[in-house]
Amino acid sequence: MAPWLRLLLAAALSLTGLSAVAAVERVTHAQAILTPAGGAAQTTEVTLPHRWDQSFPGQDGMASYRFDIPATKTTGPRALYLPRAGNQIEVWLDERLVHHAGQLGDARTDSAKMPIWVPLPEVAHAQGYPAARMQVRVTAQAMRWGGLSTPWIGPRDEVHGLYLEHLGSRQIGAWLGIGALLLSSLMAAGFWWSQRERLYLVMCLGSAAGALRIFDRVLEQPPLPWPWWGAVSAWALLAYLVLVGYFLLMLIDRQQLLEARWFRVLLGIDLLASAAAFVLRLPWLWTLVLASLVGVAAPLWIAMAQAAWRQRTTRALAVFATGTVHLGATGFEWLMVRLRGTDPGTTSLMPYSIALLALLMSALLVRRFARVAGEHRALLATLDARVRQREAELLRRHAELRQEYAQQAALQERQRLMRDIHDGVGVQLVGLLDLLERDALPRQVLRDQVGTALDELRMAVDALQPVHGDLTTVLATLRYRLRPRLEAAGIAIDWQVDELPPIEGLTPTTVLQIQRVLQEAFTNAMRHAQAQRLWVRAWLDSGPPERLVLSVEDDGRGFQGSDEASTHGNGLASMHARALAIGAELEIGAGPHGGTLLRLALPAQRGASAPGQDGVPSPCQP
Amino acid sequence: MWADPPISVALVEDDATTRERLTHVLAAAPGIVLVHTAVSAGQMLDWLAGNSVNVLLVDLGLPDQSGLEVIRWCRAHQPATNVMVVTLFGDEANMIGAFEAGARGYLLKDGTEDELARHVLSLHAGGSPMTPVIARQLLARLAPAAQAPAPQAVGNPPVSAREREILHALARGYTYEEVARLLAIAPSTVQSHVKNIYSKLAVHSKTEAIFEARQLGLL
Repeated sequence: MAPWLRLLLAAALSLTGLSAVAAVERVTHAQAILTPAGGAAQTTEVTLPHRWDQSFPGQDGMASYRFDIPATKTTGPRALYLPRAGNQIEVWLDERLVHHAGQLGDARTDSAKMPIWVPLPEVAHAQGYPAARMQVRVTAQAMRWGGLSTPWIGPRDEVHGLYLEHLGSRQIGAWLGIGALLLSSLMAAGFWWSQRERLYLVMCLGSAAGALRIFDRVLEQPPLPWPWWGAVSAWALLAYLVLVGYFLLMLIDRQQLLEARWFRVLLGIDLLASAAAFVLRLPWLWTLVLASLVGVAAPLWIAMAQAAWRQRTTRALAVFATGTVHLGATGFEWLMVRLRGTDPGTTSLMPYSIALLALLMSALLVRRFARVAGEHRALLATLDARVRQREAELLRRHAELRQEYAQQAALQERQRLMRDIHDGVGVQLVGLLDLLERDALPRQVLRDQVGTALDELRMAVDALQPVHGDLTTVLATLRYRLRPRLEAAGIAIDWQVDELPPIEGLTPTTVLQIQRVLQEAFTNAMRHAQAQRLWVRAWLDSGPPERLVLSVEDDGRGFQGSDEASTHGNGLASMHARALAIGAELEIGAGPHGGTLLRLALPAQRGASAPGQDGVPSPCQP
Repeated sequence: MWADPPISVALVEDDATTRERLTHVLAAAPGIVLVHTAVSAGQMLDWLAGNSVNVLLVDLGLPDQSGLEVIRWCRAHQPATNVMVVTLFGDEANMIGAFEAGARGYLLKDGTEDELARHVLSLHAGGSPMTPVIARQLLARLAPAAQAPAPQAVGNPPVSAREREILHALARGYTYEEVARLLAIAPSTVQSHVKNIYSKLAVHSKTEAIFEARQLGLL
């Protein structure tokens, strides 16, 4: 329930005369016995809240606060609520211990961190509660915010409401702060780990220090005994303030302010002084340390204001706003707590400053990554465009190369054909000329010579016909051409030719070579072997490797029985050379019919075996 | 057979040497009478307007117009005449064109003219020669991919299964006699099949021409 609402409610109740029924009493005065360590006990009347450090700065000690609870007519359960009491306490009701937090004098714990809730024992009196005396005994350590705040006494439910409210605001505020700072510290640590940018390290350490400092506010049992823990907590605060300031300055590129030599010296002194202040119990020294930082805060704030004014960027403005709140909160806290002595944790602007800081950090990261992502996209687009450009260039170059290659191949093919025609028809015609020089020219010889020249020419023309890799038709055409001559020679043909699958890349040159090899076999059978019969076969040998096999066999005398061995030797050599040129395998030997058996085998898959004829390079994959 | 009337032949050939040689061969052949020779398509067409022969020998490369024109005219006006092309080295593209125009046979001017008389007699008796390359091309044209439904022009008679068998065998280099043996039919039947195939080519060409003319708005 909000305080103003409660006041309003109380006013309304007092008007109706019911205030005695459910009144919550606030104790503002107490009889106190104050005993500083090594000093004499003083009995005195104190106004609550009472702060030990104000009465005995830099001293440990013990205090006993006594106050009376008047008799009431209400009979419901009652409770005591102490917003703040420490550093170790005992609560006595009429010489009866009803609550304690820590052991008196044992500095390891601090009960002042949490509000204290004490249900009071019920006394069975039909008339209500009689008057009672309450005693709160505390032991306080120097500079630990010991003492007693104003106790509340009243019906248990109402007091409990107050207690929960206070507990909630203190706890939730603290844990939210811790969570925000730890989260930003972790995030900054991650970014620093991946990018090694000093800005993130500063943020990471600053946030961690801040988290530790706030954590101290809810820590009843610190890991170190007092006053050592006090020094650690003081350092955490110093680190938080300095690092956050440094972080803000880095954002606006003014960090040189805190990198100056004098500041390093000051910071060193401050660190030593703050530790000394707690260990040696010199509260004024701690106030001085904080004052020195407040002194530094002034030029810092001016620098931020300047940057905001000159740069006028969102970032500079955000830094200025955050810095103002941050410095303002610190300064305000210093003023209120250190100089005026208000309870710490009750009037704090720190959560706002932390929230703003966390916001700034997130915004910074979001903007940074948005920019990086944008740059990446732009880079990707550029890369993509360049890749496409390169690809197009490559394709164009490849097309050019291909064209050049095709032209070259066509030229080579033409040259080969011309050479072949010259070697074939040309040689025959030259031989004819030579024959014509002789006087007694046998007519049959002349006829043969001209016939051979014509065969050569016909084959050359046939080889130039587009055959689409159809070797069967090449073979059939050869027979068709040579048929009249074979018939004239009285040779019967046993023809068994299968339908052969098309051969890829069957060039005119290849056709011509095949024709020549077969023609040589036919001619041999006709002229030299005196054969009566020829067996011609063509089939697909499934392999592997898959091959097209052509065979010509005669029943003549064979090469061995020939009387023109040297001519045959030449013929054989040239046939083998032709077969080799087209990547085919040639076997010549004795056949089952007593004559010669010639077998020519071509790979069914051409292209790989005949580079330079049709092996156009494929476009390289970009 | 001597009682049969001699086969009348006319020749159009612009090359004097070839003409002389052919004239000589035909004059020496029994049962053949060379009734007319011309040196240009125009001359021959003029003469054909008032005369007809059993066999007409046409050179494709004539000076005034293509020999194909003579063949077309002949098929249109004297379908009974067997037209034979006299050509150098059997250039298949030209020969297919000639068959489409209506030719029924051909003679290669390659020194085997001695065979001319035999060819003329054979042609007149109903036989037509066919090279393996032509057989292969006809297969591609008239019987494109046996499994595919014929995408042929309207009115085109498709080749029969038997005809396709014959074309396949001829394309593989078998002679008419061997084809007859392979298919267990008479050699003359193979010849008439071949002639039939040629005429289908001509019909095919004719319907295509009409179709195209219609497309062009000429008819």
